[in-house]
Amino acid sequence: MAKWSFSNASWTPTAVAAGATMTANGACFLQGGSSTQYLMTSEIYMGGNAAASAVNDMVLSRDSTVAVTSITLGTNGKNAALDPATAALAAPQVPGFSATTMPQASTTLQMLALSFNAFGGIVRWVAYPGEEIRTVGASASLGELSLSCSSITGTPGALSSTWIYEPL
Amino acid sequence: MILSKKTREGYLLLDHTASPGVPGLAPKVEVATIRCSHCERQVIRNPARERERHWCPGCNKYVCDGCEVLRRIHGCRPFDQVIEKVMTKHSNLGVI
Repeated sequence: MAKWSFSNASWTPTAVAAGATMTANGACFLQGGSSTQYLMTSEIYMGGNAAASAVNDMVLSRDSTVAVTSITLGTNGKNAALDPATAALAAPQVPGFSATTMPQASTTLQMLALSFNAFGGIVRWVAYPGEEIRTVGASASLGELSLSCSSITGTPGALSSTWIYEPL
Repeated sequence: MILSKKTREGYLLLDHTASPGVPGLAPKVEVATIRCSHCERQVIRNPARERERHWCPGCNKYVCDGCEVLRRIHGCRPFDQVIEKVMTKHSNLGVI
């Protein structure tokens, strides 16, 4: 299969604790397109866009409640295949920044903590090939990953993000 | 080809050279990450760690501290097995 990029040039996370419902356009998530779809997350990049110091406690975690109904890329969200020759999937994966019912991050299945200062900070995580974070299906808790800001420190600042993944 | 344990490490960069940074963190941090074979959590490898790192003899891969406790009780349960179970379930239901 081919790699895809799920990105947003500017968004401001809304601080929400694990187990609480996220806010539309304040978090992003990636859900499988079918009950058997398999997604591999291989890279997360975030660059700070904030105009003042703001420590963002960003967390990549599995979701104990997945997003449902009217899932969209929200404001500024983009999702595109890296290779222009990529064929359309029969069951496209579902990336989103907005949904009628936003997801809830699992209180236990936290995959990666990426705290950084959104005032000029950069954070980039890359998996070794074959060591990616995988999701399977489209239901909780293995079918969706989210990138959100946990409510531990201060007020989050604006950032840009890129999430590289591969559907199988 | 024989691979070392370090071969399969991921990479994490936290660059605050143009930023006030995060309290207690150096301006630029580059560290290795390792994936737990049982829960897929990415663990930031602490070079100062003195306790042993756990290695599952069943799947011959790294396991995190939490999964090591479960491994000692229930044995090796790699995430691959979880995926296989989900796929088998749906295959039996006629989804695939």
